[in-house]
Amino acid sequence: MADRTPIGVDDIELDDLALEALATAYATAPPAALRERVLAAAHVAGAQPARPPTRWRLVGAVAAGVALVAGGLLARATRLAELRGEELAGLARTNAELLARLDAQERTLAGLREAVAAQATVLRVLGGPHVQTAALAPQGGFRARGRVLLDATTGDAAVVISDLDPAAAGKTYELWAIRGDRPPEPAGLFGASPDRVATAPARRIERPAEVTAFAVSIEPAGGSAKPTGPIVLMGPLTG
Amino acid sequence: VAPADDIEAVLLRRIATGDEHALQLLYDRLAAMAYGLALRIARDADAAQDAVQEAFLRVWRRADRYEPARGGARPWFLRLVRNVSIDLLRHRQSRERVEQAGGGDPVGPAPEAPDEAAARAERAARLRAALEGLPQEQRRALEIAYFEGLSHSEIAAREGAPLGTVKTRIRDGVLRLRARLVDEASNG
Repeated sequence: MADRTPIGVDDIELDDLALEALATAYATAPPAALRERVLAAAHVAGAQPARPPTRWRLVGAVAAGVALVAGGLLARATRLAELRGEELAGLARTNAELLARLDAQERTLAGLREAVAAQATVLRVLGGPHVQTAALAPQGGFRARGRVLLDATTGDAAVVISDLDPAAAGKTYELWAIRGDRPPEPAGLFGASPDRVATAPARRIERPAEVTAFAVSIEPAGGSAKPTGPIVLMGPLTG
Repeated sequence: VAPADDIEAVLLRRIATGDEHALQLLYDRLAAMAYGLALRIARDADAAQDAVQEAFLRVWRRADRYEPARGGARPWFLRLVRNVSIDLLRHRQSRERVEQAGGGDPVGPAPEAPDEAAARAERAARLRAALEGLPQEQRRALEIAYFEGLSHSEIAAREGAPLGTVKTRIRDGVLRLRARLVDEASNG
């Protein structure tokens, strides 16, 4: 059989690498139905996956007579094997759970990094030497209030709003930059935090000197190219 | 993030305890590689599906035979797929010599997340390019050895080449592929 090993018995690792390379190179998605077929066959095969092969069944039958004599020892060994199996199964479950928790923590960490980056942008705008402000006044019975801060040099902008209710399911708040009587331009999406505050960077504004006002409307999740929902906040930009 | 082999070793241990969900997860991770390998060996979609099913059933019954000390879980499984595929092919060839018409796949491929599919396709394309970049005789010897399961002596007899030459071709081909795999691993 050694001759059948493609590259020789001393090169098992190379054999494995080559086999994986070939399998990866030719990987092909199997028909969807095959998954159900395989899992159904395994289910039918039973919940006791570890079965001795046929030749060992024969050996097992011969050994049965001996087992009568060595019954006590065998029972003890079996129990030890069961305990070891249970221990291994427990470790495997723990390992899988730890992997799942690690995955969740990585997602949380990514979210926190994103939030910190957003806060850094807001602080940078606030600390800029040429900041202009638009005080946003509520429109049509809306209760929230806030400000848009615009760095007149770089076009960086941020929105800070308080008393802001979360947008309804499938909706988002969208900021608009207004240049005189020209159509509003989308300037970014944001939502309310659990304490009903929004502190978010806006999209960088091109030619900030031309902006005269900002407005906020409620739009479908994902935002719109032009306002389609009610304008809930609006205010002129002042130096 | 744990290496893929570690995750698959954990799944094998769970399968050995009768955990059907672990079998599902292992299938989702390795079915495409298994099916592609079986398809190259069997050259028939139905036979390849039979081989993949048999391989996963053997895993289900015999996952406790996997010994981490003797190598990675993924190579262990791929060797199983190769052996099952070659056994089924030889059994079929000995039973019926009639060439069956190569049927298409009536069901179509299983759905896959677009980003996973794209990454897998990209890596597969690079490895196929590496294979195609091998000298023809190296690639041919390699594919016969892995996909048809012939021994070195059998390959030498079929190709009309000295045994030593065949061994050198296969070894050189594997070393080149390994270099490409190492590049893949180091470049993510």
